[in-house]
Amino acid sequence: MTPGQWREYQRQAKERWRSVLEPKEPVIWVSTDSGALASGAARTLDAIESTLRRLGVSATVRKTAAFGTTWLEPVVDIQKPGAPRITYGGVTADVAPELLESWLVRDDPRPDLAFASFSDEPYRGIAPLKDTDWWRLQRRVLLGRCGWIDPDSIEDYVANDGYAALARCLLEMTPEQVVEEVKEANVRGRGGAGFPAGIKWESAASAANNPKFIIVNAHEGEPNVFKDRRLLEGDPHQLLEGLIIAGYAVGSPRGYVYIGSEYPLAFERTVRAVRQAEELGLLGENILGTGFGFEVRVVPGAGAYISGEASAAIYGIQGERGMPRTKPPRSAEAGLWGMPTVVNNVETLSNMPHVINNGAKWFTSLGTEKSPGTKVFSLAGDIKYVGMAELEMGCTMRDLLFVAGGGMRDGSRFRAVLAGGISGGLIPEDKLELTNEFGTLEAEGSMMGSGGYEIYDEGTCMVDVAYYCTRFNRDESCGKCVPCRIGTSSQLEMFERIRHGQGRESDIARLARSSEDIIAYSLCGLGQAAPVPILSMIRHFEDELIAHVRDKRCPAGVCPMRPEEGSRQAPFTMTALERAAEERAETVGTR
Amino acid sequence: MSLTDTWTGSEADAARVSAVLDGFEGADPMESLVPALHRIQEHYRYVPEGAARIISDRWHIPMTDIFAVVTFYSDFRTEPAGRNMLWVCEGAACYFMGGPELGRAAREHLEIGYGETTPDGEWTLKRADFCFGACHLAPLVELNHEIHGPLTEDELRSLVDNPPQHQEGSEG
Ligand SMILES: Cc1cc2nc3c(=O)[nH]c(=O)nc-3n(C[C@H](O)[C@H](O)[C@H](O)COP(=O)(O)O)c2cc1C
Ligand code: SF4
Ligand code: FES
Repeated sequence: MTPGQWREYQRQAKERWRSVLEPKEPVIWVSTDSGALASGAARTLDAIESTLRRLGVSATVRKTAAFGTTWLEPVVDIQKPGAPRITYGGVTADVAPELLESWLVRDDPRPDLAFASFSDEPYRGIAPLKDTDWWRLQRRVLLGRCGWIDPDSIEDYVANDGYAALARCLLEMTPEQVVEEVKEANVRGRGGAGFPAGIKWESAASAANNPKFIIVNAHEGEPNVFKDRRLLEGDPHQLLEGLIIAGYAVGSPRGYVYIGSEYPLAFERTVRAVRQAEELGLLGENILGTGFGFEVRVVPGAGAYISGEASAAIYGIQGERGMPRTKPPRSAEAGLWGMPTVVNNVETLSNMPHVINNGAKWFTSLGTEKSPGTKVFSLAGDIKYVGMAELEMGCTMRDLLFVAGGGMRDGSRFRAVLAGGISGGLIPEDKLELTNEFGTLEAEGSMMGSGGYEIYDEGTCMVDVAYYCTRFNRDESCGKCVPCRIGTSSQLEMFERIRHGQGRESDIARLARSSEDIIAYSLCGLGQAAPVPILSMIRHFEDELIAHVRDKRCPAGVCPMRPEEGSRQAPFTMTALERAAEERAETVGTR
Repeated sequence: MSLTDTWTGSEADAARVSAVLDGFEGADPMESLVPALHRIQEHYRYVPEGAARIISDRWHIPMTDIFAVVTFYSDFRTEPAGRNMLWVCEGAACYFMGGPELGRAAREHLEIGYGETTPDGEWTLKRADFCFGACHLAPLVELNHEIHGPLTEDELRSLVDNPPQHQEGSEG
């Protein structure tokens, strides 16, 4: 495709999109991401089509994905000519016929089923979206197209400014200028660690060896994080555009998208996006006649959380065991097949088209000085609005959870939030004024990480939370280093005892001490972060732990607090690590 | 479901595995290993040793390297899975909202542990520590690639007693 043909394609796509926004007949938007499908969206879609036939009403049915109102799924939006678009929640196959008949035939917009309308003023008893708690603090950049476009349509993407940034890079900017812009924007890695992407790109670009590779880390195996999945299911071309831009900036001929096998729909949509971009000539050789060529391979994982660690992902793609390795060399020097490799998270790369389109200045005007831009959060647990929300970095925890998250479910009271996923820490109620950005939650022993937050009410036992995280980390440890492999096992044994009413007060010190050792002597982020939830539990909820070990009582009433039936375990056995720690403590004490 | 076959090591089996490998013609064998193992497992519900041997011969990958991969990743099995695959979600939302109780009910009802298959080869039960991305339906299970939630223990038992017949071409 020549630049002229590209501009013509873009013009036509935009023109067709206008007919979507100013429809002559009703448009029905059905959300079809994996969260919606789990709630029965496929059946809703069938019901809508058969109802339209039965009513003899002509309407356009559009598939979209992931507006973010996951708790309302199945979500259906309806836009009638002359009326604003209205979002409806809980539209199961049973509800859909009634809704369509009411609104399309009897002209009753059904405020009882509606969540909000896309209008400035309330529309016939339906609140405007912009005034809802869920929406009013959001700053939608990465999720801007989600819920609007059909994720399987490259034309929809192009009509909404898609691939404009890529064209701009290729036609108007040198690779060095692209790297410079990304550096200036200070886009920090959204995979958890917050490393500046521009610096990573620069070191790979200046590495001597060729070819260089770009890897999109879409493994996301963490138990309460689903933002990358939604970004891929809702707007796969956005990631793809960011990936090609990275390829151009770094001087790489090939990119890989490494997707966890738990994500079949994200995989399917990404593969389709790659095909479409190839057909259009935005991937392949000589893109837009500039001589730059780029190929993308989509690679499945096989279900090991640890393979999401950057160096492990590289082995995973190479068809080996996905285990982390010691650094240096860093991947930017010697990564995939020994070549300079950039590993970036899905959300990190999805930011790039926006950085190029709007400039680094615009990007740094969002968020905070240290953490510019927005962040997509996955919210789950005992809050009202379980789903996704995109806010500027620096938003307070209270705003995020109690405004965008809707606060606690009816009848439950806030206890704590586990921020940063399984390797993050608990944040209690009196610390909710903390801001969400890189490097702030650390002061309270937690972190933002990849933005997966789990909210707990008073019925949750904080010791159980620490036990759960430890169990996860023990199971997912690759076993390469002893402190991580044996340490997490031994801590898990302690927790088992404590939960079964056989803990001792000295367990508290023992947990703290072994945690410090595991953090200090583990090779990768899993081991280094595994004890973080334990330490944060001790820090903020020690009373609760003391109740377990001293009074043999679980205040939340969750832990069994009596020996497991049929358990052959002696009431108290000291693990090897504990013995070693005990001995060491004694030596230290007598010196 | 007649989509899967039992591995017998017959010529037909060998031909089938070879056909899978033909699909990766021209691609890097190491990059193709995990995708090929997925395909083979989809068909036989595990990775038969004989199939691994064919890969090893054709792509010159030592058996030990293939075995290392098969045993490392939790997706791959060295024994056939049951005809019904039941995952109980114990991701961070489901765990605290009743996942472990569902898990206990499933283990008692099927009389097997997590990771095991019933002797009649009908059911395999697994615990998911990852998240199905459907936390709004917690606690949930995934049965043959379809999410069911939120579930009570009774609902789970009746789901197991009357598993929905999978329809061709249905999504989800
Ligand atoms: C145990 C472990 C699991 C990880 N899993 C992921 C993952 O699933 N996705 C991801 O993007 N980063 C993951 N990371 C972080 C990566 O190592 C790496 O920092 C990241 O992919 C870099 O991309 P970014 O700079 O764009 O964030 C994981 C790290 C560890 C220690
Ligand atoms: S810290 Fe744990 S997960 Fe990481 S390399 Fe060591 S053993 Fe493996
Ligand atoms: S934790 Fe079970 S679906 Fe998210």
